[in-house]
Amino acid sequence: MAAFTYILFTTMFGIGLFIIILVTQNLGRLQIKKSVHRTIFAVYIVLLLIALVVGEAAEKKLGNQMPERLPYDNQFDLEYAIINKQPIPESLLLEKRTHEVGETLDITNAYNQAVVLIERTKDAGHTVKEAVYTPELGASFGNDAEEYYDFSGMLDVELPVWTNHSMTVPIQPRNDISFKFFHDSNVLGQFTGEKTTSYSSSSYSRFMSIHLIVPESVELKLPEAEGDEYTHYVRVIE
Amino acid sequence: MFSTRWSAAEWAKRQYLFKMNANASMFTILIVLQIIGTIFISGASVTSTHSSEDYIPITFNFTTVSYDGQIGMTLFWAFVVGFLLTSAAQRNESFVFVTNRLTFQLANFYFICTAAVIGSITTVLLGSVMKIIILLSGNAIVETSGLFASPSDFFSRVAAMTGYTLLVLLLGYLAGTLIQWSKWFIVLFAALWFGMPSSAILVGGEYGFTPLSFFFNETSLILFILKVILASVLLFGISFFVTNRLEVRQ
Repeated sequence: MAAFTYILFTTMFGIGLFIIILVTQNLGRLQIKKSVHRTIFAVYIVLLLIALVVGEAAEKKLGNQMPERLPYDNQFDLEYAIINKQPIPESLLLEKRTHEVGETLDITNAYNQAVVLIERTKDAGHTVKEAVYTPELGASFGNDAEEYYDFSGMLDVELPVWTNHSMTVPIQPRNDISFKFFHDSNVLGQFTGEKTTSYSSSSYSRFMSIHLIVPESVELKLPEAEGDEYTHYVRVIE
Repeated sequence: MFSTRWSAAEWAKRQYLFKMNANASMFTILIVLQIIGTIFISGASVTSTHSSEDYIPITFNFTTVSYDGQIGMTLFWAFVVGFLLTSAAQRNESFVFVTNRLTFQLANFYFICTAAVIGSITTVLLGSVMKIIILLSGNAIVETSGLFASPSDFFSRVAAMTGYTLLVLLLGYLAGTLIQWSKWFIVLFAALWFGMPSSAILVGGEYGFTPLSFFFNETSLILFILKVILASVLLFGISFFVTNRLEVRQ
C-alpha cells in the first residue's frame, strides 16, 4: 500500500511538474505585454508588504486574547495540595460555599464527573464547607515542548447541586474547544531557535475537584464502591 | 563594426536585463502558484482532536497551520524555472546579442540569483497573509516572532529560503543542461525519480546523512551560507562545463 501511494504521489508530482513546465513555456509565448507582468508583480509585492504590516498589527492587537502560556514545570498538583493542606493558588478556585445539612449527607457522583475529596473535622454542627476547583485543559505543540497553553478558563462547568441532605455532581456540559495554531515554517526555522520539525501535539485535562469539609456529626452516605472507581473519584482524606 | 566596446560583465548585465524582460511571465507563474498554495493547501494544515479520558466530555480540536505548502510551491517553481533556462528557445534568444558561453552563463546566473531572492522574499511575506487569515478566523494562537518582534529571525528565514530556492534553481538548471547534452539523462532521471526512496534525500530517513540534512541540520547561518555557496559553485560549474561542450545552437 505504501509503495502504491509512493508511486501515485511521484507520478502525480511528475505530471504536475510537466504541466507547469508547459504552462510556463507557453505563457511566455502569449502576447501579454511585459508591462502587465510588471504591474501584476508590483501589485503583489505591495499587497504582501501591506499584509506584513497588517499581520504584525493584528497579532499585537489580538495577541492578548490568546490563552496563557505556562512552563510545564509550573503544573500544580491540586490533589496533593488538598490532602497535605498546602496553599492553593486562587486562580484554581472556582467557588467557595457553605451548606447547612441535616444528620446525613448523601454524595452522588454517578458519572464520575469530578474528584470529591472529603475531609472530616471534629466540629459539632451541620455546616459543610465546600471549595470547588476548576478543571484544567492544556495543550502543547511540537516536539520537546517545554511550555503549554492553558485553556482551563474556557471550560464550562456545572457546580454541584445541594439539598439539605445531599450533594450531587451533575453531568458536566460538553466542552468542544477549537483552536488554530499558526507557527512559522518547519523548513525555515533552523536559525531561529523555534525549530519545529513536526506538527505533533499533546494535551492533558484534569477533572473538576471538590474539597468538602464535613463535621463528624454528619453521617456520610457515599456511593457504592465499584472496583477502584470509588477510591478514585470520591475519597475521604485520612 | 561596433563603435562601443563592452566588457564581458557589461554584456552579461545587458543579457540579464533582457532575460528579466523576456521571462517576466515566469514571475507571474510564481504569483499564481503561491496564491494557489495559499487558497488550496492552507499552508500545510494538520487537524488533531484530543478527547479527554473517562467521562469528562472535553473535546479539543486544533489545527496547526504553517506556510510550508507555499514553500513547496515556490521550490517547485524554482526547479521549473531553472530547467527552462536551459531550453533551446532560451539559448537561441541569446544570439540576438553578441554573446559567448561565458556571458550567456553569467546572465543566467544573475537571473537565477534574482529569481531566488524574489521567490524567497515573496514566500516569507506570504507567512503574514497566513497569519492574518488565521487571526481573523478567531480562536487563534500565533507562536512565532514577527518582523517587528524579532527582525533577525525574519531575515534569517529569508536567507534560508533564498539558499534553498537557489539550490533548487541550480538543480533544475543542471538537470536541464544534462538533458540538453544527452537525452539519456531523461531515462536516468526518471529511474532516479521512481527508484530512489525519499528517505535517501529527506531528513530523518533511515539514512543518517542525506543531501538535505547537510543543509537542513545546519544551525549556523554563516556555515549554511558557505555550504550553499559551495554547492552552488559545484552545480553551476558542472552546468558551465557541460554547456561548453554543447554545439552552438544545439
